Amino acid sequence: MKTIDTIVRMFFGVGVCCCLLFGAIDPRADGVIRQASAPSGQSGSVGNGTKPVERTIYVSALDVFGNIERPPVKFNHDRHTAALEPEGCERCHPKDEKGALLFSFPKAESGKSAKALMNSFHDECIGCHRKRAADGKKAGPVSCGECHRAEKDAVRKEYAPILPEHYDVAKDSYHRDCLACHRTGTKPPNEAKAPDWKSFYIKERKQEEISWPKMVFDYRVHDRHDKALEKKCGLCHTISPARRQKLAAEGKEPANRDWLLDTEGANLSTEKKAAHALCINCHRARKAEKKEGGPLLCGGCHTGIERSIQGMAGAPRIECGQKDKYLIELKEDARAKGVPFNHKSHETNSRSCQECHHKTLRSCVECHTAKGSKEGGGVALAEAYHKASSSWSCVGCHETIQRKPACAGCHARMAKGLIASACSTCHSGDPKTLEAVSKLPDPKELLPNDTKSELAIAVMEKAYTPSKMPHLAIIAKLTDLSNRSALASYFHRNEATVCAGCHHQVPLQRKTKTPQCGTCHMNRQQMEGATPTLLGAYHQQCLGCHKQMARNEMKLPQNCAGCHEEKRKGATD
Amino acid sequence: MSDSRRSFLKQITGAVAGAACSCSGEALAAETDAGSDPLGVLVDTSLCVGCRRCEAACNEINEDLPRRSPALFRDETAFDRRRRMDDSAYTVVNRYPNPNDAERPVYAKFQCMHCLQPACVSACIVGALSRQSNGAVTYDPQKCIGCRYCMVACPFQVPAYEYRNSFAPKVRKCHFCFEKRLAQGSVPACVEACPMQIMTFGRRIELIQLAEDKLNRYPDRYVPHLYGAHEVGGTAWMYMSSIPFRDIDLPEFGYHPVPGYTEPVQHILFKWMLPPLGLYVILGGIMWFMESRRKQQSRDPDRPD
Repeated sequence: MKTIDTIVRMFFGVGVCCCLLFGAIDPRADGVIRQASAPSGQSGSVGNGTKPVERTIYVSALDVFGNIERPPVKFNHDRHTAALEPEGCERCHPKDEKGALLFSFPKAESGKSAKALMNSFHDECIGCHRKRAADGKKAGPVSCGECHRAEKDAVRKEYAPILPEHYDVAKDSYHRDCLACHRTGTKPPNEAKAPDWKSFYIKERKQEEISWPKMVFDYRVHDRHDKALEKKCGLCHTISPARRQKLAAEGKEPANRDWLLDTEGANLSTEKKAAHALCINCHRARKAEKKEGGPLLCGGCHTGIERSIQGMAGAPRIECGQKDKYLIELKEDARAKGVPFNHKSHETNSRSCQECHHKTLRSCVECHTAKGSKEGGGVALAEAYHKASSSWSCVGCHETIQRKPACAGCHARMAKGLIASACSTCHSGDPKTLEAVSKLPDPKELLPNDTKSELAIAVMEKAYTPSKMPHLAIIAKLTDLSNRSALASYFHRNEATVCAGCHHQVPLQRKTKTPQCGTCHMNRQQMEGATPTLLGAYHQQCLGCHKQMARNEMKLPQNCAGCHEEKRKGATD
Repeated sequence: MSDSRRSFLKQITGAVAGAACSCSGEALAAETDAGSDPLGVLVDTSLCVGCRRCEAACNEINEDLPRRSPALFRDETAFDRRRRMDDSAYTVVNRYPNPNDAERPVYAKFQCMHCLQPACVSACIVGALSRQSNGAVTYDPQKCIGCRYCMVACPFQVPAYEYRNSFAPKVRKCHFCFEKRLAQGSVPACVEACPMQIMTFGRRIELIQLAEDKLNRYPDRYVPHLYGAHEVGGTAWMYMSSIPFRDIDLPEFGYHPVPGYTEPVQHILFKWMLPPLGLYVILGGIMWFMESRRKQQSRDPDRPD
């Protein structure tokens, strides 16, 4: 069974078949944030919607084969697609009893052992190549070394940590450098013995995995399907028979809340299998009916292009029976007051429902029970909401947003994670707090009347001219940035929040003078321990923030001359 | 793999030591003349902005280095290549690409690490290099004979040689501002010059505590490791970094002091007067052999003399 799964996984990884791209996606049209870079050594360029991406797949890199005598076969699916176009996908892929294509290979399974599998690969590939050559058609190689070609990247072995499926390295705040530890002394899984703890966390990266970028089914793609399929949700969304029975017993109508629930509890390979079978068979059927259909080539869906949240603008809200606002609270054994939650605003700040709901569209508590369940991966509800190191949790996602240039100026220097005083900001227990959010006031209302708009800092007077710091303009800019963000407006409750970005560890009050930096940060002789002196405090604070915030449109001084000019020796002496 | 060289050395050490006699292998000469509470510097490379003022300050205070104008240290093209300490600079700042954030490269300053058990001191056959009680590893050009064993011994490849000086070439390396500043109770010139104050000068034990606090408080900011706390037996200069240390040219060393590999072998060879005794035994053997042959020859009347 595992063998079949693996083959299926591999071939679905490649995707399928011939043909045109009806209604080809033009992702360049809207905010593209990231193009997944083609792994080094892979051929082809990232797709632009009209020209399919040409990538390869390492057939022999599959787990089942282990270490093989010859170099792995670099299989180019797109070239086979082009050559076999008249014969269709059926030439290589089998059909199930209903006539739908199953994207597995080889067609005829001769057995489950690695040897038998190898034979069926060889029979099918070489058989076809021979036959085509005999028919006088363009045909592939038949000798060993022509397919099993030793290429630099083909023998490359990489080790990757084994992470939970829902884990997204790019979104993780704390574990970006897992491989710094989980790297040395690592052995391939088959060689590592049980006591080597690192082997638990490391697996060999399968080269096929990096062959194709992930397909992101965002709100825009969903909308396109919604319109083309006339809102027949059931064509894609299915409900497992068990769940259907359960709902029927409760007297409820099944709602399209669960995404491909027939793969529930299964691993990624079957999800891949289901997705490919569902999508490509539907695209093929629509093409046969001469209707507008989706891509049939690998690169049509796996474009490697991810739209930004801004790119989601214009996609209508997906109606799933969800409410605009919820009060998240435990019915029993609650330790804190409920959290009013604006579901609608979170929808407009995400690219797909799966960014929070994983693979289902059920509410958090159904899997992440108060004590944790197997279904929720052992993650208890409190952890699911609060774990700062996971981008899936509320706290973790908000911390990820704090790393944006607009926020990072202040937040990068602050300690991460939950602070005790912040509990009541979310746990108000009152849905009205969502409406009660007010913007930060104009800086002039806050600051004492005699505050200078520009301060001259002269800690390096000997060598440099005093640096002019536009105090008021900085506060105005930070206030503006905070007020423009709904998230910041909600959490920046204290009217002096932006002041605290620099004036840390001092009480801040309206129209009251704050202690100056030099109160704590004195000259070197007077200082003890690691607290920076005034010189270090200014540079760390100013330049640290400038480095974090200077992106795109914001131009902030980055070097010495940006803030203070060097005095010429002749002029001062 | 870096282990192979080390394990090779270990095997050799073990074989020779075992052959000579049983030995603990831990006796180190350098350990004895060093203070137990050395000074140190904690370098937080995540803060460095690459202004090179430490280089300028170093050049300014060390008058025996070639004079450079301060303007020269504002030249950012110096970052285009990786530099090493040489006979004109005791410290250099390098720029490294940041895998986490391409727009913000990482800068790191290097100088002599001032090991707690320095390999250069162990290797120096005339005692030109020595470790002071406050932790500074200093150099005495009067004693130096220019053998450059220290350059081979140093795991960080710090000591440089004045190849351009034909008549009185010296080994060049950072001396922790030992004479000019530490002895007067002030901090090294580079530490004082740094506007970002990425360097904290103090007692090494306190700095380790400070670094641990920082690593615990800001786990997202640093690689969870204090480089130099244990590497090659510990160094006075210790590093914190936001990217893996191998990416800022700080190699992954074991925690065993470098002299620990060589000194047991050397010490055993010279223990209990072994070499002179051995020489006597060999020479005596030859003498006895020659003597017996001569006697045999003189007893043989047929052979003409």
